Amino acid sequence: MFSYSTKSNTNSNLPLIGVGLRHEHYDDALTSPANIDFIEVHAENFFARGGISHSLLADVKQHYAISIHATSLGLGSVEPAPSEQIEQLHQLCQQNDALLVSDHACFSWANISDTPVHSGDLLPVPFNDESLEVMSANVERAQQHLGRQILVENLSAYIELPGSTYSEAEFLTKLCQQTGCKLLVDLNNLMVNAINQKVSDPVLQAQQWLEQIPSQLVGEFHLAGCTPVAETDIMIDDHSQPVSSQVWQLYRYALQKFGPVPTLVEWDLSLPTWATLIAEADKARTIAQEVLGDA
Amino acid sequence: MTLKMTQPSTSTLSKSQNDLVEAIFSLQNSLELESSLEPGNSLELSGSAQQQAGLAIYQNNMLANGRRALSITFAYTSKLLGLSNFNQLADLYLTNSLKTQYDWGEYGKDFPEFIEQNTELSSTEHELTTALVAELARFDLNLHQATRAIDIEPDLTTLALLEQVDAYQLTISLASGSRLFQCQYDIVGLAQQLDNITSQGVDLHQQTMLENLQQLSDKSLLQPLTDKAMESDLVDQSQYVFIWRPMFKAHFETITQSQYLWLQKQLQQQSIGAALDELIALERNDFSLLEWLPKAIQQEQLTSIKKLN
Repeated sequence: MFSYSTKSNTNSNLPLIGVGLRHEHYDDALTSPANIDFIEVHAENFFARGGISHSLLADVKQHYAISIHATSLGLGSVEPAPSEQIEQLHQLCQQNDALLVSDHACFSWANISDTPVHSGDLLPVPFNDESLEVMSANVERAQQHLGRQILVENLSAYIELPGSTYSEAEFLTKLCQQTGCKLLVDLNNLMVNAINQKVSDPVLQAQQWLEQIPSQLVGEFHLAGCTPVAETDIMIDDHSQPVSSQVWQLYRYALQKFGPVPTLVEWDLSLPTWATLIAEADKARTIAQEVLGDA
Repeated sequence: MTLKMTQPSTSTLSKSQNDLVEAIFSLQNSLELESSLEPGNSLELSGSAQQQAGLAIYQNNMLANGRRALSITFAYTSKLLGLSNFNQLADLYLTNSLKTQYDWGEYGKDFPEFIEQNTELSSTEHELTTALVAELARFDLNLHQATRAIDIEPDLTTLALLEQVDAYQLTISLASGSRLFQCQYDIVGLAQQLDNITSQGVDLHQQTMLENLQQLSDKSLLQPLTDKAMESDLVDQSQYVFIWRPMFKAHFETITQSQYLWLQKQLQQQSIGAALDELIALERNDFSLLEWLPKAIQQEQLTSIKKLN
């Protein structure tokens, strides 16, 4: 439905590899351009009407293709996102010739005392027909406004809402089939959920999740690290660590099943040096070469 | 717990979403959500340690994101209060104010009013008053909004219009984010002292409010200007401030009341001629366009001259 424009990868047998660009790395990303195919920014960091963020992004665009990752549409919200919000995303995507555009399979908007309220977080939805109807309508509305296909990311969820009648993979597959969107499969989120569900073999459970997804529906992978919360048994998806060995193992499996899907390394907290982050991206490229070959 | 709805309906989904968001912002430690499908399928967070821990993660995320966003928007206020006091205030605000904006950068527009109505600060043993902190927060908000305002490209070739076109047909376009601020404390002096202390290598975020106040060399900054006016027989008891953004950083300076009136009329897109006439009618003889213009150009306060439609 849309084509990728890469600035360095000319081998169609290998995936585009990118990293999430955060504020602390702006200077390094501009002064030491890395051998990556794209960078991803969080849309909301560039929602100001003017100022330094726009200028920085214009500079970044000179060196890298840009993917826009939104975190606030709340595609599963019964309370719809305001049109102004989607328009801001639209303008950002247009100004930066966005390579990919994505948000999450979550809800963020609610209505309290007749006032639309935004949670500021990615909150889980039950996987049933009600949620599917709401999310499909919101995804279609977003795609129509943006004039392009979007990718929808699976969540790491810390509570389970009642009323699910589908598995998450079934739900997301139906969402893609109904709306024409694709999935951004966050492999770390799969691992975090499996670990928090206390299954005996989290990697196997995540592989089984991937097995349920038709190959043509995956448009991007996210790789990241996670951290256990002290005094609880919960693992949180805080993107503050290197990609775990389990997620690398899952990445190999995902590449075998889905082929050269664009891949992004995320690191949001306790940021490493730019060079360390790029090394993680290099590791992803090396694994892709091993799995898919570099012919 | 009683479950009333057994058929799938958007209203049930809506209610569970609203309840969860309300539980996050009100820091409830338990939550019961109705299932739309089977009566026995309800989620009782109060009965599950895992679910309670999950709810706490969302609540902690909300507080962490909210504190961070507010400390960016209200940078001077955060510096003055110290991080611990500021976070307490932020937590109180976060749990009492609905977040209606999707962009954390736009959150907190009524934070200054919230501070003003909050009695906690007034009861401290320090000289710091709620009114001063609220006014500093209002100043912060103006700086923040100026920083995010739409970019305006300067075009100084339009200065030639001043010689070619009647002054009643021209107006002045000011820099990005230009705005006026009036206050009852020496907010500019306080902000400059906070800047100076930080630039001397002291990280005020790590300090307590008391330590921060001790760093202020001029304690009179904590008094309202009305007190100073009484001491020195000054008539004008307000501080007038102009805020503008030449490039990426918001600048600010104190101005006279006449300059304030002049800039107010320019922000209202009044013609240069009409604005000068009004100043003369108000007997504001201390304002001179010939003196203001070169300084405004030099400080990048003025971006262009425009013909009125």
